[in-house]
Amino acid sequence: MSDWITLFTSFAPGFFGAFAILILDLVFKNRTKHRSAISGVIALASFALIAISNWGQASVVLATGKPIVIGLEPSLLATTFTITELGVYISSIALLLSILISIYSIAYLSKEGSTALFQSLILLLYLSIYAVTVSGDLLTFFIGWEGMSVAAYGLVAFYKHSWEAIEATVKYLIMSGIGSLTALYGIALVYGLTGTLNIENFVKGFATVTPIGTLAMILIFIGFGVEAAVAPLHMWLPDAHPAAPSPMSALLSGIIIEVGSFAFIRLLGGILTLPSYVALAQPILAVAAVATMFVGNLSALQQDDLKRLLAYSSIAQIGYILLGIATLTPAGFSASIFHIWNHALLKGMLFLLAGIVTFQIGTRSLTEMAGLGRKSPVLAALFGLSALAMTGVPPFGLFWSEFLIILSNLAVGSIILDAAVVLMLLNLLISIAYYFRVIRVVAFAKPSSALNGNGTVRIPKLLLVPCVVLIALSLITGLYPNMFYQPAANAIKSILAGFSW
Amino acid sequence: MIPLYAEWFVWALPFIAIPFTLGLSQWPKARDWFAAAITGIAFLLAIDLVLEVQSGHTITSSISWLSAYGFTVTVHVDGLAAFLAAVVNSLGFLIVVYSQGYMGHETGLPRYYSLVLLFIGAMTGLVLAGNFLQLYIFWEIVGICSAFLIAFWYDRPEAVRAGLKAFIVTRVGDAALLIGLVWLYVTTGSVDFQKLGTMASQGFIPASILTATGILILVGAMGKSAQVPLHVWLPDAMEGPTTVSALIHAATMVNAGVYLVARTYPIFSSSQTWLSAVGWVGIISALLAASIATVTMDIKRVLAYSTISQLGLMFAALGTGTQGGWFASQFHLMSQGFFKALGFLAAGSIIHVLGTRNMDDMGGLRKRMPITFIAFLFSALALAGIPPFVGFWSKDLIISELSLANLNLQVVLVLIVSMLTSFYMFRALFKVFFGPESKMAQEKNIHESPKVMTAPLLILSASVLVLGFTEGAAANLLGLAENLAFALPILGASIVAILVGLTPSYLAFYLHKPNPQAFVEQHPGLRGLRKAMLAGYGFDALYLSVFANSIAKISSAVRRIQTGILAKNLWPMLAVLVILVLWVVLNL
Repeated sequence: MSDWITLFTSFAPGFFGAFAILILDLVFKNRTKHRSAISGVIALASFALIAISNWGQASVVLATGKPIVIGLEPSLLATTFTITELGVYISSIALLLSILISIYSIAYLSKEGSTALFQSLILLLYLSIYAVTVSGDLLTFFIGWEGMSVAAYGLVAFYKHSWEAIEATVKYLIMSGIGSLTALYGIALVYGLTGTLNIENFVKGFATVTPIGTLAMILIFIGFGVEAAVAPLHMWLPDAHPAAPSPMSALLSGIIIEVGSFAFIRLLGGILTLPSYVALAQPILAVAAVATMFVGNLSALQQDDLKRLLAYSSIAQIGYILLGIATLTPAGFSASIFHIWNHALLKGMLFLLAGIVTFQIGTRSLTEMAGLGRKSPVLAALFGLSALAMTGVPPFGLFWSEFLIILSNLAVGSIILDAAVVLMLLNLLISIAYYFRVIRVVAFAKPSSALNGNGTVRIPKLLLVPCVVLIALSLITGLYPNMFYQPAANAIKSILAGFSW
Repeated sequence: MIPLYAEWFVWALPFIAIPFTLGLSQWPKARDWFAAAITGIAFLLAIDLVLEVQSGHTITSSISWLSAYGFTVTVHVDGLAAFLAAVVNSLGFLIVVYSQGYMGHETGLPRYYSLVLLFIGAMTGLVLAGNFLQLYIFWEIVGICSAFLIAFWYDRPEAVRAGLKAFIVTRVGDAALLIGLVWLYVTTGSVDFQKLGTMASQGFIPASILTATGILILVGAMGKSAQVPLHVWLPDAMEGPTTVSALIHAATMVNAGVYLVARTYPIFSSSQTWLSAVGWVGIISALLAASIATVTMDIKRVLAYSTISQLGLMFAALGTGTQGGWFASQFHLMSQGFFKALGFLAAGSIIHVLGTRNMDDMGGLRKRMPITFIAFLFSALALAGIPPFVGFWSKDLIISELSLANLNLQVVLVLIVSMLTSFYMFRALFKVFFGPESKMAQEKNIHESPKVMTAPLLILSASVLVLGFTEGAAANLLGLAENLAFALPILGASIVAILVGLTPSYLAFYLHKPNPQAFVEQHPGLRGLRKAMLAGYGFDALYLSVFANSIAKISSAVRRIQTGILAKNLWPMLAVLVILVLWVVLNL
């Protein structure tokens, strides 16, 4: 019984909050000044309740060291939830970003009149991510996944009068839809092969390498690989991420595509770490990882559109995460999960900063925003710090996760992974070139003609606070890596221990 | 006595001071002197460390960091670390004091002083680091600081380019260093210098892995210490303010590589391959850089190439594999730090009043700027290695140790470097301070720099004169067991080499008989050589065409993949499916 209360407290605030936002927005239609604040406050209140509920679950999971399993009769097909440490880790990142973005959007979208749709979609998006991370079987996983995609489509298409947004959404929808169906086919094969959808149990059917089993895994990899933006399945991303409102881009790049990487670890991690699969899977993952980083970094190198540049850089980061997964060792998985945290902080922040630029001077072009930093030293400093941190220099957190990805790869002692590490280091060099361009243009360059004359720029506090929180967290992670790495490592350990062989 | 925790505060204090420096921006004078005071205190703490460890005992203090991997934050102070900390902080302090005058009229000083504090603090942290990982982290921070300080005048495109170049070129070395240290960790399960040293001496680490990781770490050291072929960033780094050049060349950045090799000596020096790699990298860099310095017109670039050359001598000394050579490299590091800081600050004093770096626009400055003249003269004499200046002692120690190790070819080559050094330094001295007064000097009616700038010059001048006599004390501090090598024939050869370099310099640039310009034009061989040297032997052009341009081309090609056409985007999905299925079928 208490299980169902646990579930209720996690899902109800989000659901009812989302509805309440939409209804109250209609009620207060005429209070144009306060509309966006009202939506924001309800969203934040809902997030606060969610946070309390998640805190309770997390403390139980951490105290007992065992996942909370909530399920219907075992004979039924699906609908089980398994709240694991890994799920708590990922959903906490999503929650943190969602809260900051909700705060940011109050100011950012105030010009749009109503932000109700946006705030309620963020709530629903978070709930879907939560459902994915705590699902105990493939069907729940898939439903959560689809919910996440649907909310994301809505948010990409937020500027519904802009052709760019609609085109991007259609591409995203079709590609991601095909990806989902591919994954669903893979899931169907898993059920056919093993007779169960339970994530902890279906791996038993994979103890020996079978043609159907490997086909199922390939389909799941490709299917979820679309949303995870693994090259060459990433083609939708450079259109979709920039077209969305900036706070939404922060969520898309910061956590949604990383949920795809989470899916690989959660669903395939237990199987692929088996010795009989390693030789088969390691080269595939390593090649995909290296291809993804090269596509991302080389495309970002000559971008003038700041948000597109950031989107390409996210693809490159997926490559690094995938390389950690390619080790097929607990250390590599932990490093990847840790990288998800670090990347979420910084990429989230950079998109929010790009949003501030759009908010102030209405451009995404680096050429046009040149010299903005001279009008606002705070913005220049934040841009400088976050772009610097994204190149993986200490003392920021991203340094540690990149370092641990490299370390875990070299520890395996395979020639392919050694080569992949060298290529990753080359990629890090390429990324310095374009992130330094961002720093130079935004923080130091002479003001462009578009900027001349309008004095100093005053930025609303609500836009700055989330950015300061994010860079502070990145710095804290860099100084005390243990605090955020150890939970990730424990989570991976318990996930892999959960598979009963 | 109250415990000072000097081993922590000596590097943490500058970091802690940064927010206060930024907070004092309303009162610029207070802020600038606050920064100077902090570096002064850091210097006193460094001296305290030297006093604590001089009797041979070491301070080790550590806290847990990333427990899953057993990484700790460890400060380990021994003679070497304390010696380096004292060099870094004494020079850092003098340079920050000098900055009060030199940078006084600049804007962007909050950025300048925060970066300088970070730079000095990180460099001190680097030399006190007890393990590889911690050293690497400070190593990276030092790199960032240098890049941003070189690009301090960000309105000048060449300054920004030089900053980025410094960062990327040193990061190439850093990548090798990173692989090396991770490889060592994967093999031994430790990054601690002490533990690794013990394991290596007990033969626990396979020799092939020692050599390979040692070479990778050497590449990292070459990047930071600007050794050929990773030296290309250093001459361009002259685009930064002169105080920054002094910091980079004397107190911080470039010393890091030499220090790293010295620090890892107990680990790798059993590998003969590694030792000869270290030595030859040094010799080649010393020769190439010294030859380029003989033709450069920019006074700061002359000093920059001389830095590369002097660092090369330190690597050469490390290549001997003996304790004496090891000590010689560190003593020369200190010596180079002082006379190079002096050289840069003197050059800065000239640039400050004259506004140019081209030596053809200088000349005859001796009378108008007597203190600067003395300073530059002392720096040149020390650099050329004339007794009793500190450079004489340290360079002769290197040559003696090389000859003691029976590396006779290297001894000859170092003597040639010594000859070239004396040639180019006296060339600079004659061109800048002797001869008729230049037009520019007359038009601007220049005079000596303010006291806040000349005081550090005088202190440094006195230092290069007396520091040579601290050789015994330094050897004691660094725990040198054997007696220092000293051979009279070497001394004679070295003096002859200096004179052989000085004579043509005197003839050409003081007496103008023959006129150097005309002389080179008459000899096609010399003309070609001069052209090659002025182009830096083509390293820059090579890197630009091979790396930068080809990456830009590939990048354009990759962008063409992104058609934005949905139908085309779906094909790769099918292709991936087919490839993966084929891969599995072929491997089952």
